[in-house]
Amino acid sequence: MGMGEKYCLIHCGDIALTIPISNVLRVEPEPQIYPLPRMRKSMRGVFRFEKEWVPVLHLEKIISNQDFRQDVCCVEIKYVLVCATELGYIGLPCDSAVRIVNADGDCIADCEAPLVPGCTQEMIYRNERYPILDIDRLLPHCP
Amino acid sequence: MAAGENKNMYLVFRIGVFGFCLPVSSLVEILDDSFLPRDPVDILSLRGAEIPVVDGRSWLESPPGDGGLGANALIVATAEANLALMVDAVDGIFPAKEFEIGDVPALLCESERVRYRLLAFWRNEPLVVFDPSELDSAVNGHG
Repeated sequence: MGMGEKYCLIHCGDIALTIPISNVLRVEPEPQIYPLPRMRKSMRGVFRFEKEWVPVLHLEKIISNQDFRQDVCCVEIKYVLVCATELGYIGLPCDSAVRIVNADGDCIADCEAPLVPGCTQEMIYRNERYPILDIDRLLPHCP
Repeated sequence: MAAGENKNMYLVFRIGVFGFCLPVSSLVEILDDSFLPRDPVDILSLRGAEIPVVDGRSWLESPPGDGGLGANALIVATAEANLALMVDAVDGIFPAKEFEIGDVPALLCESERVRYRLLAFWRNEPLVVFDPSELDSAVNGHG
């Protein structure tokens, strides 16, 4: 990650994140997500993608912070970003249009107060700070 | 149905919001609610036989429905004995060619709680491929 690279900015309820677009394979609009028995708390369910079942993360269960407003948790998933990890595909849910931005100038900074496990940097876009997600570093922290 | 025609077929059933399929080779009998006691029991008396009962909802930590016992019982042949699995609904028995069987995503398997290893893609939804040996674990208190 670095200057000139494109990033996807996503919102899920009260959570705002960004991820390098090079990590995103596809943005799926409104996929049907199915729960499975005894799933990890950090998973919402699975959806079908290219003949595979892809788990979708439950971000509110992973990023537990009292600053996030529970009343605006992501209930309507409009898009799922399909991302490749060392353990297979994973889906990142979001409830609004995905914004693609360039990481220009000095918009990348160290996290002021790391809220997202595995995140050390964040993007500053229009005065809002977006933690830069490193999914492979996030997954070991998933309950 | 002609003799031998049922060798490659699956029973589809529901426990709470979850769907399952079971090879009919492991199915002994389907009992509707006319055969079942009104209150939860640990043992089902059926034609002189005492059959241990597993409540599917409790076992799978599925959200309770109407609070009653499942609407059907599946008598399943396991390695140790016949067991009764309480389920909420039975969809029917369907030919194996309708089911596309694949592995559970590795990211779900990492959890000790997820004991099943196969998912079936059937009519646009995922079904857990039910392993009868898991019922033995449930009865023996290891589930």
